[in-house]
Amino acid sequence: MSSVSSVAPRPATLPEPKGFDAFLAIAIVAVIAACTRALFFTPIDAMLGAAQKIFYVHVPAAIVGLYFSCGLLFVSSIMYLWIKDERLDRLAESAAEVGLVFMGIVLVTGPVWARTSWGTWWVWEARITSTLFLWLLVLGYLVLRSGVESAEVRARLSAVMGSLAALLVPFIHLTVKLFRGMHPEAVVLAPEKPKMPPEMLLSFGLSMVAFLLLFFALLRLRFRWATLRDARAAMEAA
Amino acid sequence: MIVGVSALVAAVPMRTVATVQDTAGKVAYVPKAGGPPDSSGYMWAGYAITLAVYGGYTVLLLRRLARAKRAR
Repeated sequence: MSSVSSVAPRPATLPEPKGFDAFLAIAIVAVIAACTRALFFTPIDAMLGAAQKIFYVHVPAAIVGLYFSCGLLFVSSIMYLWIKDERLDRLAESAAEVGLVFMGIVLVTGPVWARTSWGTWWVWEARITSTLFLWLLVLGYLVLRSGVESAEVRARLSAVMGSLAALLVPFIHLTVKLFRGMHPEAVVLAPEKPKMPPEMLLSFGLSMVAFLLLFFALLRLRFRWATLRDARAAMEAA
Repeated sequence: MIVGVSALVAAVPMRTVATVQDTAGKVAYVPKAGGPPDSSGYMWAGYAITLAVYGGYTVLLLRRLARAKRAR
């Protein structure tokens, strides 16, 4: 295997940022359409009432924030430790920040829904508490990054912390099976079949696609900004 | 003019009336006594927070990029 340099080649000039982002525009339209369908064209749940519609933003945010962003954080951190390409470090950083936003949505919309269905804003049970811990770990990861001067040391330390933080995700996934708590088990990804009527399932599917598009659009923007920032730092240092 | 109590009750908007799903009819949901209380305020709060956070973060990223572009 050929040896890999610890620092990837720097661009001679700053990359040109585009003015209009069509992908972001499509993602925003998709999110608005999905929310409109969920709010106005999806039946209200017979048992949980109108607040159940928070499901269409809470669950996609959880799936994207935990599985997609933390999965990406884990893979890119491990890959960085292996091949030392700074683009992987930027990808991990971008996935962590965008994932922090999605996980924040999970932690805020969950209590709003819980207040109506459980009668309380917060319960210190396994799934909710471990999701809060993961959010704090990812926040710590971003704080760590801002506190280290050397780019190489920062990338290495944060890759270790990022990959370790993401290891909490399988545990969070299993909490509803391992511990007795108030958080319900999987509804859509139930082992036998989705426990939802088709209209609700379609609304959920559309929300899932829309928020996935938004995640990748925001990730792309964040990565592009990080590339510009690093290129500027390299030019200033030269 | 004297108004009967039943007329006053009927005139109150059905914002806090208990709800339940009518699965027999064409419309999937109708307000009906015996179901859960109206929680549409929480639903709107959840969506407002979600859209404000995503919108705010998108604007933040676009401003960061625009600032980087101006500083070139």
